[in-house]
Amino acid sequence: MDWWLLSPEIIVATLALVLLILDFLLPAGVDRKKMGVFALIGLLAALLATLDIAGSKGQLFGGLLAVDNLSLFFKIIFILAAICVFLLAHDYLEKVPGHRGEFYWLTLTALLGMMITAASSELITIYIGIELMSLSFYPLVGCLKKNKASTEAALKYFILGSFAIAVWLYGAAILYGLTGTTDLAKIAAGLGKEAGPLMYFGLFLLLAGFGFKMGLVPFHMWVPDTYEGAPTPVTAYLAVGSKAAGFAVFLRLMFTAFPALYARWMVWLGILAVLTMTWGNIAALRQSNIKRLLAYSAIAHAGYTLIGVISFNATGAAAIMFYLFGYLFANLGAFAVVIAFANATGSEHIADYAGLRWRNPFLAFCLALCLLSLAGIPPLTGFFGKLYLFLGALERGGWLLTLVIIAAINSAISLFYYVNVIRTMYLLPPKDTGELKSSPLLNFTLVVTVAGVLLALFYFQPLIGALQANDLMSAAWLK
Amino acid sequence: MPDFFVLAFYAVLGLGMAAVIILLNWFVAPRTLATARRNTPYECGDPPLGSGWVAYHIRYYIFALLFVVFDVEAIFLFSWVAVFKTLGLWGFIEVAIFIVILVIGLLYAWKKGVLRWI
Repeated sequence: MDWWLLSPEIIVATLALVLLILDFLLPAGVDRKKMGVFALIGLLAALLATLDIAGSKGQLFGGLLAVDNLSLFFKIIFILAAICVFLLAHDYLEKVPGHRGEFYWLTLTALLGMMITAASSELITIYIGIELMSLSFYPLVGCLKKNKASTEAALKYFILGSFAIAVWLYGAAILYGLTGTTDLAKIAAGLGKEAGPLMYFGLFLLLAGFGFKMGLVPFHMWVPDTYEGAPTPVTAYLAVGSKAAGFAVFLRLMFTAFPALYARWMVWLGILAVLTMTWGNIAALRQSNIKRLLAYSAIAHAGYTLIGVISFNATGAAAIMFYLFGYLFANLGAFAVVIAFANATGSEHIADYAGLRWRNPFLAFCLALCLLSLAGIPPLTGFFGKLYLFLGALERGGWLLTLVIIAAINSAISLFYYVNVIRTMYLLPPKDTGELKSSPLLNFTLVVTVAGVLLALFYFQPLIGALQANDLMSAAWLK
Repeated sequence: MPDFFVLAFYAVLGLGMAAVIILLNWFVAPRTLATARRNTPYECGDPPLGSGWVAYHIRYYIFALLFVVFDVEAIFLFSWVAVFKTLGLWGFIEVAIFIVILVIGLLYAWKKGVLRWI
């Protein structure tokens, strides 16, 4: 076993433990801001380590963890998200005195959970990864202890999350009972060509568990309340990291373990995708709170992303990765502006964003750009992500054409509420004309995320080329 | 596949046993009139004091949580001890890392005052 392949995980795990020890050894009065700087340096090291092993293939611990392009790409996404969350949380954590250290190491253990989830190629390891991530997220969501909304959000997330993972475990147990193995590739081999009703039942339970993590529609009830109540940096982290981890492992599970049952699950997922996009977009139309709006838009985006899984081909898989990459930057950028606005005014209502163009043109421009990318307006990353998702579906053909049409109609609906926010910022007169200050650190984060959103303008061709040329698709996990 | 039938067999057997015992109890038990005294909860023969609905202190849960962590640790240690010789030094180092991580958790809980009973 090549331990070097495990270096990103080892770095993140050590970092989390060191921060935990530092947090309880340092006296209560000592400022913990330096710990954040230390963590950022460690995260950059983890990012470099991941980039260093990019392109390599291998299995760790006798096939429990897979190192391949899928897992490495998602690890890069997670680490980038964690870095942005650290930058966003720096000022925000003034609101939660005394919990800065805990916030830092919980963010890191959540990151470790995501990395394990994305890399795991075996049911029990998937479970451990998901639980490590979720158990770190529950206290993060509720870390505004005195705030009722935050506590309620944490409790809802915890109860529904535990229930979902229990359902998932039941499904995993049925799969194990039927095939006698927890290894995804061996499940595919043991499955053979035909499957009984019990197998479909097990698959359905697994789907319900993952559907919860990804926020698909019948299982989305926790998303709006949790996103609204959680501290905004945590919301951003949930929307990007937790969801991407869900998609990474879902992609691997469906492509590796269940290619034989494709004809059946593509129909289920197709129905879920249509429900998810439509409900997410329609519910987002009526929101007056910006975090709730972004929560429903996150649900809608899960619906679009699901198209990539349904296409079940190389383009679809590459499209999911590219789409989530663009989504990461656009979403983090939008949440960064929400944090900057809330730091200055304490408000999260869309109506209060009126006239932001005059009060702080930089924030208004960044939010507009990120929202347009989320809506999928041509030169931005979101557009190319959607384009590739649709191309993958069209390559598969058949009734997926209908799915693409529904998704396109949904994009048009979504444009309404995204542009409504932009209209509020640019055309409506401000109630309060004073200048709105945002901290240099937040501005820097915004520059980074906007650069990511604009990346596609100049660089999307090489990026997509790299995704495909990396012989991603001839990898063992996709036949 | 046959293992799965064994599992199903034991599941049915277990449920059946429970059902038979409950039914048997229902058949054998003497029928008495439902008086106020008969309906009082049985507390070792003493007359009951207060309501049975008591809110337990939240501290119990944190203790229970810590207990479960080290309970599960013991399970892992047992399986490690069983193959101690074949794993050798490397296995020892791995288990040491595992225990150190758990001990850090315990120290954290300690520092947070979880082990102190007011």
